[in-house]
Order: sequence, then structure tokens, then C-alpha cells
Amino acid sequence: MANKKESTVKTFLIVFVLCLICSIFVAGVTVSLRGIQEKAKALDKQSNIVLVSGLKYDPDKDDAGEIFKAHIETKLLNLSTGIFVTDANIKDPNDFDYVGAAKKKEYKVAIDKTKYKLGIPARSKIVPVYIARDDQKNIVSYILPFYGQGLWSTLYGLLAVKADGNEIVGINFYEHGETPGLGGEISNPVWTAKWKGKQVYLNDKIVKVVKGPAPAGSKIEVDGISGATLTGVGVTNSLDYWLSENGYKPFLTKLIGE
Amino acid sequence: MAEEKINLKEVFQAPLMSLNPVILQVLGICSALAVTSNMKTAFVMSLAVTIVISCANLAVSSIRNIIPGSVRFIVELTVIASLVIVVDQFLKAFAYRLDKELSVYVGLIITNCIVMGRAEAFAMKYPPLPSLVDGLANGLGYSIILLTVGTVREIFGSGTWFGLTIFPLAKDGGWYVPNGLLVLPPSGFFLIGLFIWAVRSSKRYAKQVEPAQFEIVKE
Repeated sequence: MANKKESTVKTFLIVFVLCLICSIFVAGVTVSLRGIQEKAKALDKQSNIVLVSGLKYDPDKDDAGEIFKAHIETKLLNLSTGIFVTDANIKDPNDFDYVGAAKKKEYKVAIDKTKYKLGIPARSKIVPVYIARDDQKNIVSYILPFYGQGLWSTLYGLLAVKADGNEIVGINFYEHGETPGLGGEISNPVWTAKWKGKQVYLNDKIVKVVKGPAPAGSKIEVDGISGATLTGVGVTNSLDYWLSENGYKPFLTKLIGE
Repeated sequence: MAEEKINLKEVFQAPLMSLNPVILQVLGICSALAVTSNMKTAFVMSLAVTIVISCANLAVSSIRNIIPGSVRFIVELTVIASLVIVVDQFLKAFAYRLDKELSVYVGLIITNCIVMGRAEAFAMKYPPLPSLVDGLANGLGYSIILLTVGTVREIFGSGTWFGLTIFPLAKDGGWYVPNGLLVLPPSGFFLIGLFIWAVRSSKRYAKQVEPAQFEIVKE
């Protein structure tokens, strides 16, 4: 083949046509599968919500969709007032993309960059909050979504808090792009289990990830992951904002007061 | 180009054991270590790689006479990369959680030496049908190793097989204390090493043993 006569023009032409065919093929598949992928992604998020909620759930059974329908209610929360609201433009709160809404001017609330280091310029003024109830309709937990910059990627997490507004039921990161084995360990159930029973607030301090092991008996500090200090800092910075008076504090304060 | 007569049966059988890409050529080791800690990921990975090699071989072989020799690597890689993206998209749609577990490794099939190696060494020289068979056989050869290593690692590392309990774990009230080493990637190395040793010690595959390059000096 190599000794065949090849003109530069012909080479370019063949490569161009081949690339065109390949890109049409790839684009066609991607576009036609998008609907199914979004459904799969939504179901994955629901199973993460169920997993973190403290409800009984067996991940092997794969019935997160039904549990979500039966036990979890989604409401929209106005963060600055701490009151559940309805929005005429949002028919189903489950379809509300609160991350994307941070870019729209009717929802946008700027984040003070000098005070908070979560690496995000703005958030949506309303966010979806998931309320998990058991069979007797008692509230098991409120599940609060949050996000912030980790080391390499944005961490999308869920924090489940008991009805008393202060005890943590669980934490879960359902989407991130940290290094597998290092920062990626934030989605390891062994680590997320360490959050259970910690408190959101203690003496005006907010729960955080420390470097190395947390002091024994500490209610507000969580063990850091070795090799993932900076991802841990990202988690702490995110919670610092989302649990502050600019985040969920007005809502949680009300729960604590009740 | 004079094409010799190809024995399809031979093309299919050789890569399964005697010319196995993993144990003889020691290619594709990276993913073989990374995804074999449980059977589900090992199986999906085997399937993905087999599909990609077969299709890539078929596609490269059918256009082998018009591929300009000066840019043939780029052309092969374009075909392989497109196929891998398509496989990844399918996994995202139909096995979202497994795709998350496999994370970067699906994308890394692009750089799996077996795929590129077969396209360059076989598909560029032979017609589409033998190339397809060759791709399929190499994919299966890779799968045999992945699934064997995966079986050992999952059963002894977690007491399960495809998620089904084989040995009830001590922490759940059973009797088996799992070997934590087998969950970690280095155990894949040991197992593949043992596999290579076992195959090369058998008389049938004695041809795989290479002559020593150096003589060890004895004092």
C-alpha cells in the first residue's frame, strides 16, 4: 500500500469523507439515544435520593422508581425565606433544573465570591427539596440538593437531614468527575456512612470534612479521605455556603425551632 | 496484493488460547486489572471490547484498499474512536449505573492495544469476513481472561458471583471472611501472571515459551 501513488489532495479528501461519515454516525446515535439516557439519568438520581433518605431500600431490587413515587414528595423551596413556594412556570418540581436555573436572570442569585469559595458564581433562588415519609406518613428526612467545585469537577450532592433540622441522615454525591480511587471515594458508601448521626450546626459552626481522622466523638467533623484532601475541601466549601444563611439555614432554623 | 488462502477455523481458534491477546501478547492489561473486581463490570467490558474489535476490524478491512498508507493510523483510530463513543452512548442509555462504575474505562477502549493491533496487523491485510472473525475471536480471547479473573476475584474477594451470594460473608452472619487483596487491582496482576504461567507450562501451548534472552550467571 505504501508504494501506491498517493496525492496529498486525495489523502485529504478520503480522510475528510471518512471523518464526515463517522461524525454523522456518532451524532445520529447520540441524538437518537438522548431521550432514553435522560430517563436513565433521572432514575439514577431518584435512586440516589431514595438511598440517602434513610428509607428502607435494597439497591439490588432496583425498585427506586416506585419507592420514590410512593414515599417522596418534591417541593420547591425559596432559600432566602425558607418557605415552600409554587412557581407558575414549573409544573412538575421534579423537572425543575435548579442548576441550569442559576443562569437565567429571573432565578439568578449571585454568590459573594469573597466570602464563599465554592467556585460557583450564582445559584437559583428556588431549589427542589425532597421530603421522605415512611408508611405512617411521618417525615423521615428532608433531602437537600447542593453543588460546588471539587478538585477537577463540580460535585453534585444530596444531604438528608432529620425532621429536627439538625441531625444528618446521610450524604450522597450522585454526579462528579473526581479521580477514581482518590477523590472519587466521596461516593464510596463506607465514607458516606461516616456522616450519619453528625450534626449540621453546633455552636454556630457548620459540619465539615477535616484532613485526616476527625477527633473522636466530634459531632461536626468528618474524617478526611487520604489522597483526597482537596476534594474534601471542595465538599466543606460547598456545605459552608449551602448551609449558611444564604443557603438552607433559614429553612433549617425553622425546623429546629419547631 | 496476493492474498493467501485463509483458514477461517484457524483464524477463529488461535486467539482463544494459543495466540491469546492478553496472555501471549500481554496486551490490554490496563482494563483487565481495572474492571475485573466483579463480574458485572468484567462482563460488560468484555462485551464492549468484543463488539468494538469486531466492528472496527470489519470497517477497516472493507476500506483497506482506499486508506492512504501515510495516514492509516489516524484513519483506524477515527473508526475505533467513533465505535467506542457509540458503545458508551448505548451503555449510558441502557446500563447507566454500570457505565458510571466503568467510568473512564469504556472511553479507554480507544487506546486498548488489542483493538488497534488487530486493525493494523490483520484488518489492513485481509478481506472483511476473515477480519470480522479475527476481531470476534480476539474479543472472545480477551473476554475469557477477563471473566476467569473476574470470577476468581469476585468469589474470593466478595463472596459473590454476578452479585449472587456464593459464600455467605462473616459480617452478614455467614462463615466466609473475604480476601480484601482480591478487590484491589494488584490481585489482577497476580492472577494474570499465574494464568500465563499455567498456560505456558502445559505441553499443548509449550510453543508460547520464548527462548531466554539472557543466561543467568551462576557463581
